[in-house]
Amino acid sequence: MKIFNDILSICTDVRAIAKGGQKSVSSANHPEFGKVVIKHGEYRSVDSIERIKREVEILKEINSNYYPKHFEFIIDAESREFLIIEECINGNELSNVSDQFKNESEILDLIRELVKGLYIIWSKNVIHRDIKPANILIKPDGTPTIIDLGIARFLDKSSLTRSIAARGPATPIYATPEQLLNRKPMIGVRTDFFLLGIVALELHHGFHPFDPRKVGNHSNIVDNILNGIYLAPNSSDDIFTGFIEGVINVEPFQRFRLPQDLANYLNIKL
Amino acid sequence: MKVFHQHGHNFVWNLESFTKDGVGDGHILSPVNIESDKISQRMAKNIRQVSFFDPQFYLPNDAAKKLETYTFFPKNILSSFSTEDMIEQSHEIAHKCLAFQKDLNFKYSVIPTRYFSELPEDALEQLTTIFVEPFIIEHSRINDAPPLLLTVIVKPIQLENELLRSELITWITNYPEIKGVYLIFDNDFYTKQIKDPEYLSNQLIFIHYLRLNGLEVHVGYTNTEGYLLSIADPTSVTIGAYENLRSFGTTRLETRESGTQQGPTPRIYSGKLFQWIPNTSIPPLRRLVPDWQELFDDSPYKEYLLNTRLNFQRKEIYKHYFTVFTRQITELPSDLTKRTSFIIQKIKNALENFEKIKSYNVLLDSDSDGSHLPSWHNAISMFNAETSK
Amino acid sequence: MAFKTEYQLSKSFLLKVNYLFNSMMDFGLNSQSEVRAPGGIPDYVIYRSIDNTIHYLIAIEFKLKNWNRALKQAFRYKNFANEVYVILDKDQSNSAVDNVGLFKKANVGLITYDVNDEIEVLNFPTPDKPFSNEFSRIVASKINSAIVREDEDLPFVRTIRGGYKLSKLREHKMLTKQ
Repeated sequence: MKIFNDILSICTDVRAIAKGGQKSVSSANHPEFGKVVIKHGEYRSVDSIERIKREVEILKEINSNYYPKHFEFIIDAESREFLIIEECINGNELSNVSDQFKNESEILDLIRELVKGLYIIWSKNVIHRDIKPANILIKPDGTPTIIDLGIARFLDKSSLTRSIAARGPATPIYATPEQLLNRKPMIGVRTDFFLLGIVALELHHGFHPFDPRKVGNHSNIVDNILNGIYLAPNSSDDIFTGFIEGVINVEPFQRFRLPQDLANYLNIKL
Repeated sequence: MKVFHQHGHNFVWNLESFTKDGVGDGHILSPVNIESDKISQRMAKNIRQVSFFDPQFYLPNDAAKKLETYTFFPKNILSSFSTEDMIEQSHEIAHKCLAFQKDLNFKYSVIPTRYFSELPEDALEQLTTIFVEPFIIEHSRINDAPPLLLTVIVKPIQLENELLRSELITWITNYPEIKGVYLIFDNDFYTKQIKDPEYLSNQLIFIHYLRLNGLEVHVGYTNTEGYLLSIADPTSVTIGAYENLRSFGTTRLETRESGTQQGPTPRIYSGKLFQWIPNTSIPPLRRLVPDWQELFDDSPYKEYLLNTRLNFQRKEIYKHYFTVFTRQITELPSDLTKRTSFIIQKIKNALENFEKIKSYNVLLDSDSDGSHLPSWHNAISMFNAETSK
Repeated sequence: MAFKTEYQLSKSFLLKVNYLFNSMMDFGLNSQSEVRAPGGIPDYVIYRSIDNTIHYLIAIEFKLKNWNRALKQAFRYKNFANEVYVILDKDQSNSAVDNVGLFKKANVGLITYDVNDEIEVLNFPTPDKPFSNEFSRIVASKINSAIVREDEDLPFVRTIRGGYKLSKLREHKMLTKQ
């Protein structure tokens, strides 16, 4: 907690926004950066500190409306803590403004924006890994900002498979089969594609597409993701259906392969 | 679909077959069999431009003599073969290896791999750190370096176990920088032909998914099953002279390649049977089967082979095989559906030929009797069932 | 009770017929084991030699039970032999006996032998010229007492007459069914 307390001690107007199992989120006024969001957490283990540090450097350089500005990204390998200070964005979580994206055309427009934004990090070999409605803020002008970039590499989604009983079978989970199984060599841009698919399909249906109550089995969301059991789109829009089929697939190698392939399909100029 | 000559001992036969008989589309060089400074002498630039180089890092700490002439070979750079040492020197090795391949005007820049006799859990992570990432980074630093091919040795468990297979295919296709794969199937079958239909079907499925992901797939060390593998539309298969170039094993990389192993029985390839027929079966065929010569395909070497006392070192044996097999590949329909029907018919024809031989009471041993062909047929059915899901 | 090894089978069989060979010395019969031949090594060859020239050659393959493999091996020996035989352990030969038709079609002899010294001949092959002149020369040159000249035909390749006296052997009570 030392690095967290050190930062808090220099900020004012500190307010807790959220606290989850692995991280806490606060807003504050920073003497140098102004209104910020501070994310802090502890991690159990990571594979390569070197790789994370390399990605941190990349993220600090990003200057785009799709991402809050990264001011600080501190990793303390000794105490196994991480801390991120980023710009506070004026926007609403996607789940709170989902009525702005009801039809397939609106959903695909949003996806196109997200792909353009994610391409900035994909082209630098950085994967987001934690795309979900809570990490997509919609600004007043309707454009998205992607947050929590950098956090995901500290999170262990494979623990979700063991925590079903505690969480409940229909608790919304945004993870891919390869994350749930902790198969690191399989994680890549296609992991983010799958997560985009869940976001899109959830907007379309109004509920999580792997929800067992909607799919009609007695399983749970985690198992449904692992087995590829979801409620397909109820849509005559071939582009939308094709997008879902091209990203929501248990096998990563059966999804769109490259960002350019996805962009070509959605007619996005990267 | 192309055919590459898989080089080994006596690769001069491959070069002659290519330049004089016009057989094959290129070569895969073996540094175990040629010193680095001899390559440009022995292979003209126009041949190198349609060929590629197999770095053969498979056993980095146990290498044949000629590998010492390659400055980038790990044994020549590393003080130890610990993972830490290999990671530390990985960029230097990558840069030298890539520069070497570019300077010799090869068609591709091949990323090497190492051979694991037992697959460790972190095999792919090791390969990523030691080879793939350093080679990709160094490749981007070399102007006009030829496109990247990733060497992948696939072990049987990675074909049988769906999760491991999925992991390997996903890992291979994760890299946008890689144009294709130099694929090597490692197996420990003791028969001369692969007779396990599930294994063959898994090979087809593996190649199929790589191709669906837009990668070139060059399958190395193939035997007659290279013909069957064409159903999955690989970019190329290989033709190798000796048996150790038609299935993958690391023993020839450890020992000096002498070509004078224990005098195996000379065998003559028949495309009409999809079988290498031992020369000891020629006399009974000649005596008992009418028109027996029709069982063998025409080539400039056929007459010689069927009427001469042979030993396994005769180049005519291999040049005949190169010619006949390559012709079989070039005759395949380019449309994959038609190709499958075409191959099924050819298998049926071959089985009929074997029935004919049997009807004249000629007995062939289990490595010569076409007993692999039903497995080919079944593999096709299994592959079709899997890919039409 | 079955033989435990091929070696036991072959040794026991050859002891049994040893006196037969002795009495057949008049016929100029000799034997040699493990002659390296193209495509295989027959366990035993029996040959008739006149003036160091081979006039007739029989190749024998012993097997405990893998009759199918033995049949194919023995068939290969027809490249250089006038007759070939498979000798099986009688106790493990039921399947072979059921398939004696295959031996007949391939013109390969089939004999069973058991630990009580009982010999049974299920098929006598028809004598024939070897399939291959080339392979016959190679094998003949490996026979200890034989002389093979490049410019000369080999009698046992040219004709089966060299085996005519062996027809008497076939009538021996040891080899005929009681």
